[in-house]
Amino acid sequence: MMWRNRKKETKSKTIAKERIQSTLISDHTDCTPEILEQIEKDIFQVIRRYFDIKPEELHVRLEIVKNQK
Amino acid sequence: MSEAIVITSGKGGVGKTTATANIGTGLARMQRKVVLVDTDIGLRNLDVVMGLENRIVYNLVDVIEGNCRMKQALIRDKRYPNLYLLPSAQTRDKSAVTPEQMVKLTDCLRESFDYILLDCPAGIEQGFQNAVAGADRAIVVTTPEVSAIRDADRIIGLLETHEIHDVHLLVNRVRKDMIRRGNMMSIEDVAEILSIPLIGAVTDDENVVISTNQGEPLAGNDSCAGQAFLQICRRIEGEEIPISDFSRSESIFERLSSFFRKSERGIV
Repeated sequence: MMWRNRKKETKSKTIAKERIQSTLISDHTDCTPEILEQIEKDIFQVIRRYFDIKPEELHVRLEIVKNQK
Repeated sequence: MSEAIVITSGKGGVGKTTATANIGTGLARMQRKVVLVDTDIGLRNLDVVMGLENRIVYNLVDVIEGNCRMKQALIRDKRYPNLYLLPSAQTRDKSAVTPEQMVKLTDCLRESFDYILLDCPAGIEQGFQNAVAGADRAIVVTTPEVSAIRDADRIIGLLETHEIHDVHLLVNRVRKDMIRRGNMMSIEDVAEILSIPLIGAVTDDENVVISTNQGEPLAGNDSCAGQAFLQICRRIEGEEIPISDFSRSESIFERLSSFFRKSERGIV
């Protein structure tokens, strides 16, 4: 039945929100999503230099915060 | 004091023309003098949504080129004597008009109307430049979909470069049931992503299709969408009305009726 596995799946709204947010970041910065992903990886590597952490322990995500008028 | 509002979206088919027709009708119901301007030259639409397609003699390009006086081109609405339409030209293209001419035209309309609603064409080319040229403020229409939101974001950026700083968001075709199941971004999600203030949200209501079929905008009638558009009009007038929560759980009655609707279609 449908409702049984509903909880495990990521809601499509969550996927949509993440996709549009990363699309807008690449639109605004004129960067491809690949470059942005590389930036996130680089930031992770920098943090790793100072802290002993595993990849699953830290999630680096870029977000643009617009100035609210 | 007169206000020129451009209704725009970037993406086509999200409901700009429907929104223009309904906001205009709603404001007219509130006793304001309103003119709707169809700025989509070559793709005339607002006249059929208003049900005024058989009354057109002159159009916007005729006014600009001096073939007629403004008064001759304005069409009075069937139901509201204080609501007028300035139709677009169907056989011309966007290059027939310049932004400077649009500013002049809008200023001319300011003398006789409280609200000038400019229905903007889809896209970001000259049609958009023309529509925004004379506007004081903007309403950006979007749906809770990735493609429409992306285009809305682009439009918001362009409005800023055109020095239009009073920009509000209208989220159209919202489906409460899908939001509740987690299959549609909520109004709050959309507003958060675009980070501009909300002027209102309209549910995906079949009555909108019916009213468009009939050529009679539904703003102010008993339907969900009709009430939502009226609330938007009141907010345009400066009233502070809270935006209803579309993700709240349904009442028992609503649940039962949707259960029976589904069982009729054999979904349950």
